[in-house]
Amino acid sequence: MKRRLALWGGAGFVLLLLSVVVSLSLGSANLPLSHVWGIILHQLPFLEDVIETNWAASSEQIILKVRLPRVFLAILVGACLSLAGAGFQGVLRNPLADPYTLGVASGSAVGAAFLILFGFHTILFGTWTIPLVAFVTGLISLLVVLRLANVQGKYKLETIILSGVVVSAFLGAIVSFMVSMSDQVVNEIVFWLMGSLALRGWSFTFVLMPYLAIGIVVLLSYGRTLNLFALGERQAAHLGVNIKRTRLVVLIVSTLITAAAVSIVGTIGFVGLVVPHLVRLIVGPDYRLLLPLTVIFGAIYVLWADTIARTLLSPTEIPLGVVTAVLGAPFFAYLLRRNKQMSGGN
Amino acid sequence: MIIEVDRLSKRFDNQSVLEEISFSVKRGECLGIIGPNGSGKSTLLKLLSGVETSMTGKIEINRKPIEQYTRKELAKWMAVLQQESLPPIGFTVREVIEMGRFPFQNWLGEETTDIDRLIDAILDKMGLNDLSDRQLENLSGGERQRVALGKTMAQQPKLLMLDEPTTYLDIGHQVLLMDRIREWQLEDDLTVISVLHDLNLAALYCDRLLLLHNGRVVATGSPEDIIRTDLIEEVYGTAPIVMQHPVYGLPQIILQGDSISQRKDPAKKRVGKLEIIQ
Repeated sequence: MKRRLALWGGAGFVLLLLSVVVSLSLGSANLPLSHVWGIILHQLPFLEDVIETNWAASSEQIILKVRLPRVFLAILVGACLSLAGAGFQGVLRNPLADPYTLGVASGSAVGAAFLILFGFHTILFGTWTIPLVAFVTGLISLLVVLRLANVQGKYKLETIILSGVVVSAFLGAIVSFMVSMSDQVVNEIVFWLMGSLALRGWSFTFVLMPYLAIGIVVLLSYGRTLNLFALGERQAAHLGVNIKRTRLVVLIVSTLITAAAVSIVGTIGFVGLVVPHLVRLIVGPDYRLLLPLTVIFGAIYVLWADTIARTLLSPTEIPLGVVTAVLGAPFFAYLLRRNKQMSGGN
Repeated sequence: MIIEVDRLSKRFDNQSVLEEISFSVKRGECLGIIGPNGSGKSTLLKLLSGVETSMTGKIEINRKPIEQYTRKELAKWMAVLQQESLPPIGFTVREVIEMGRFPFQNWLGEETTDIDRLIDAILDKMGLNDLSDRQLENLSGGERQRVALGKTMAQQPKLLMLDEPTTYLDIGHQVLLMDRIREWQLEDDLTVISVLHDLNLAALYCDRLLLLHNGRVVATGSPEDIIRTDLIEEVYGTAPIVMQHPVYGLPQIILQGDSISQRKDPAKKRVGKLEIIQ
């Protein structure tokens, strides 16, 4: 187990570094590769004297203030959403669960949109306000979805997704209503709703980091427990798992990291659904491997999606949510179909 | 006494499911709980295994009230084999049996002792050696139930609870499963509490039977005392013929029904022709 984790983790990490290299080098400004890398390496201690500065100051601004923070943000957002998806799937024992299908993302979006639209960005807690409020509204909508889906103490796969869709549609309407009521910043909010990493700068990256750190520490420690959940909740209880506490902790932490990501980049669908399944296809169902690898491959996935979003039709930018949906929706359909066949075959 | 139940009652929405149940189980004993559908057998087992709470009365395990145990402490003591076998998931047989060690592992998933030998012995005992690297989703229901029993063995419990574990199994797997459990009981002085649907299996494999009806204990005693036509008819509403097992001397039942009269028409009698295809 540990050897496989080291193997795949190492491979994933190398792949992530390569993706960073490629992504940093691509962009609408058409900077030569040598300049891109000169600027980056120039920032490292010991190397600043070795490398000649033969580039314009504007190039340096583009790399350090635009592309680099954006790459980091993509990595963090991807890691957050994928890890949350793996957490939801594990604890609800539902292969179709992810922040988007469960209504958590739209719930968080309502809270965040409310603050942004009415100019309460930094009320009470400074830069932490939006993620915290998004967390609360996301958690509320998750509770509503689970309450709707609860039929005699059981959560059926289709019912959860159905309630998620209903709640998402309702919350989406609320956001649209709020947008229509305000006459300013409409463009910004619409773009945010479709999901975008554009022009976020370093401060947002730093806001996201502690949330991801909490998510990684807590959820990774639940790997073995989620494996037992796969046997069924009662089986897990008989093996010594505290079901209620596990469910509570995993749902709350997954919602927290979802809310943090959504409050900064908007609703980006299907990431939390696709990535854990791709990792599962490679390494199997063991959550001790699945959770850490999901973090790495989620980062790679969103980094590439964002690179496509900003380069494909350059200089026009495609919303990131559109790219992930185009990649993810067919995958969702495939999972739904496979699931139906499985339950039909039994 | 390893389990002591005192005036246990349980209600669901004003409807009484169990009323004033009292019994105790000695170490090394196999107690069978029998009774018709809706008699409260499953609820009783859920209460005894601690997954269902909020009852009146007392359940003491090893002289300590059950609600004072954490789930993990309970799992070191007792294992439960359920009616539905394990779901068809992608874990291998070996991995699932190792999951039985969960209550003994620290937060890194490590243990002080080497468990590989224990797992090997269990695979051997359950005849799962050849399947150890197969995924659960590629096994039959009977094989999965063998894995489930192996997993409870890995827990090394003092007390094993069975919740109608043979319901979905063919007769071959039924006997195999009950035999393994009986051997384990005798070897390790294991205590077994078993809810069983099948009265013949219950009579063969349990030392003592407890007959439940409408949430009350009708009788407890040896299989000979409980498997009696009058008692069974009173509780189940059908009167079977009770016979002695020709080899073991234990009571066995043979069912009787109203519509199965002796066939008088000799032509009809032989509608089914024996065909054995080699």
